[in-house]
Amino acid sequence: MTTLPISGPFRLNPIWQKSVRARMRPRHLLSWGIVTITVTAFVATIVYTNMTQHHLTTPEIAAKAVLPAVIVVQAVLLMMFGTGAVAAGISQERDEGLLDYQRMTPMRPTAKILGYLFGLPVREYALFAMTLPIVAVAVALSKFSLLTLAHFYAVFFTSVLVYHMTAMVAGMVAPKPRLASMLSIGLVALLYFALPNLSRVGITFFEFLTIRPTFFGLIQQELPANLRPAAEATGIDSFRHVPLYGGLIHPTVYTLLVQGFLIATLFSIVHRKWRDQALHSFSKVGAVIVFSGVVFFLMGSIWALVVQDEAYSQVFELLDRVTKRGGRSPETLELLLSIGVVITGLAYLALVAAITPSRHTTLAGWRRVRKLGRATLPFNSDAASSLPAALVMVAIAVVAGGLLLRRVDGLGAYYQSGPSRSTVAVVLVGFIAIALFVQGLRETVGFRIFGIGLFTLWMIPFFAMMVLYSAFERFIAGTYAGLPCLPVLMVYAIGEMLRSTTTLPGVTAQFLPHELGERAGEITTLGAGAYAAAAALLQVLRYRARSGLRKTGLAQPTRPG
Amino acid sequence: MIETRDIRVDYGDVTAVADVTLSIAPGQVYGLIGPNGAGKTSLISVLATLREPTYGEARLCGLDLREDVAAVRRVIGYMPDLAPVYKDLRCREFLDLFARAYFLDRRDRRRRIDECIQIVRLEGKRESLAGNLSRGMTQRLVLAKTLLHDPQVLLLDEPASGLDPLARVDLRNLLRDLGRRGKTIIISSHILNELSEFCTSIGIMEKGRLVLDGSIETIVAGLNHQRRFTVETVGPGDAAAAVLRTLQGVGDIVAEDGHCRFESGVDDEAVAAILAALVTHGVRVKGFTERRRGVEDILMEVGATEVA
Repeated sequence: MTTLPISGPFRLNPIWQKSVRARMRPRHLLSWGIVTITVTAFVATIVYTNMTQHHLTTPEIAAKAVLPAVIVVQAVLLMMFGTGAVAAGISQERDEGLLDYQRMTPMRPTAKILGYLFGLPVREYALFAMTLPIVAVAVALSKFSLLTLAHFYAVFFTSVLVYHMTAMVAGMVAPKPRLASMLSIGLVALLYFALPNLSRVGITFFEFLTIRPTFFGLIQQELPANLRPAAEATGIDSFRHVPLYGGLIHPTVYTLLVQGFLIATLFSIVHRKWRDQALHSFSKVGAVIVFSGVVFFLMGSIWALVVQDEAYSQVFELLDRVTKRGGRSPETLELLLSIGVVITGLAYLALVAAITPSRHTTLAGWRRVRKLGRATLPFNSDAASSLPAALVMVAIAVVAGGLLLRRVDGLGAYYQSGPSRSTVAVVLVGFIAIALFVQGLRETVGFRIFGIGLFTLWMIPFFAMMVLYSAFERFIAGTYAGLPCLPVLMVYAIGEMLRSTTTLPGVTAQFLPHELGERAGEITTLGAGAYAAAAALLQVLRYRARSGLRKTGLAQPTRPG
Repeated sequence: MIETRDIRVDYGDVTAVADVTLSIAPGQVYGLIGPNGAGKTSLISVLATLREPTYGEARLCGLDLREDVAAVRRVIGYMPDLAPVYKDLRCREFLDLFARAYFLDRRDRRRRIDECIQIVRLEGKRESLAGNLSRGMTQRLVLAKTLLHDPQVLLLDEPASGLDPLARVDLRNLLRDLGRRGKTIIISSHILNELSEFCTSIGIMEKGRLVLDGSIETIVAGLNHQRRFTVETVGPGDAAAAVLRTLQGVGDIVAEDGHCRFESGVDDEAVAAILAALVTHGVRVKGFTERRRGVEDILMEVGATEVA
């Protein structure tokens, strides 16, 4: 066995070099290479020969049709096998303790991350390179636009980086290394397969994390209409200009923006974990920045749908056809606001859960304050309370929501006059109360109790509501039962808020189940009030617990008897 | 060189290390001894900057472990228990990886890799895949990796586990040599008596606490003034035992075939008198030796009886 010579910009990165040595032994490369080239050549040949031999199309078009097929093989190599190699490699090294060796070397965390990011899937990159001659032949035969191809591959590779970074985060963050592969699969499925479907209601952010818009819109676009897959016909996955706030943005720019945002977020997580495995995934400031990014992109999509006629009709044309309303329907506003609130709420929940210190972290932080002779914990320290950061996030969400509602008011396209101040106040109090409740609970109890507590508090009432709704048709009782569930309360609060608007002439809107009748206001006020009381109680408990920890931490440690 | 104060490590409700205060001078070879679960690995992990203590402070070569992590890592070499290796790298490649990661320049890198391979006696395995090495060889390879950047402090967690007797002798000689070169070494091990041959001081841990700490001589002197002797006789040791029982200040007499063991707190003059009495009373003595107390004996006496 011999080792391949190493050259290029990564020559000095020992971790990358290690992976090249370990995963690029000629015998391994030869076996995998034979399989890859054979499969790719088969796929290309069967597409090309079928089309030409059956006189379905010209050789030039047939050669064009080869490209999407080869790209699928390339995507499998880099996005499936490559992602698997990163997740498995990192979790295995962490499990065996090899990551500790690397952690102790004086290389910068960034160099270590890059070494692993490009090193662990190095064989998959090499196999990808082996498929390029077939791409070259197809391009030469079809005279496919090289600019389009370069454009596509730019997005393809940033998507690959997003996938690989996701796998690396899973490997570094999973509490037990063996969970890393499962977490990685779960994250990839959620981020790149489930959430992109939100583009069906205009939330485009997640769709552009994948290569689907570029693949279906740019590569497939080169083929005659009868050879394009059905996906394009659904209205999603097309390479279109993306509505964002009041304007349109080029899809590649948008893709690079959202992917860049996610890569930066994932990179910062991994960087922190390289510096110290015990650090939180986000700093307080980092969490606020990430939250701002999520709100920016989410709000950008919702805003555009609300204000842009073309964007609105593109997404809600089907719904309008069903309701036979034509134009904007108030219910779509409810749907959009609910989606926005739920996604913002989930982002808040995840970030607050990630940045809230445990009892142990807080105590260690105060002891360090004592050692260094400081007076207080720095805001951005892991040991500091997450309350200030949570309040900033709440403020960002409230301001964003306020601006959107103001714009909707000014538009006059959904209702004649806006929601009553009292319902807006209830919604505001409800949302802030829930946010403080979540933060207070997380900081008062441990992570496990927090998770189980929220599951119990939110899911059992939700299930009870569903049973009362569907089996007994008890809508009022069901709604009362479901109120503790955060999404239920949020959706009802928004519905109640919109119910207080004056609809446009000739338009009737159905925001909440009509069975609730006049009780809807009372129900949402009760929910908001109950959460406000619970939040107040938890914040008192939280304050007392932290004061106790501060006192203990600043005191000299005593030896146990 | 290494100083800790009130180091405590908690895993949830379990206290792995309880308020350990240590002071190890430069050039010392410090044996950290204790049963499984005593907290040795947790303490070494803290010193290796891989785990933050629940509280307590530690300084290594004058550097604060919490505040100067990067600088501390440059001066320590850490070898974990079950020393893992990249199985699909050759031994030379494995060492080259870390030589590069520690920024050794090209010329130093080659020289140092050669030196370390030689130190751990893996010359014949230079081009073997690390995954094909025996457990003992793997341990030696990781030890070579630990020595690559010439660290001032070595933290070795159970380096002798899995080594055959010959390799243990090699390791012992190597550590003794490193100690002579001024390296400060903390070594945890279950091979207790071997530690006493090259450790300048020891710390005994039990249930997270450091129950005893200091040089072996000091500990022996502080623990028990009894000296242990063995009389080798021609024939059964009963005759020697009978004579010894008549003497003052002699106890714990055990007679076996061909020898007799006893303890005594007497000085060298009295020891000579005991020997003379045996000969005078017709015991056919063919050997008379004092048995040096090892670390294991100390452990037994302080009550750390769970030690393997």
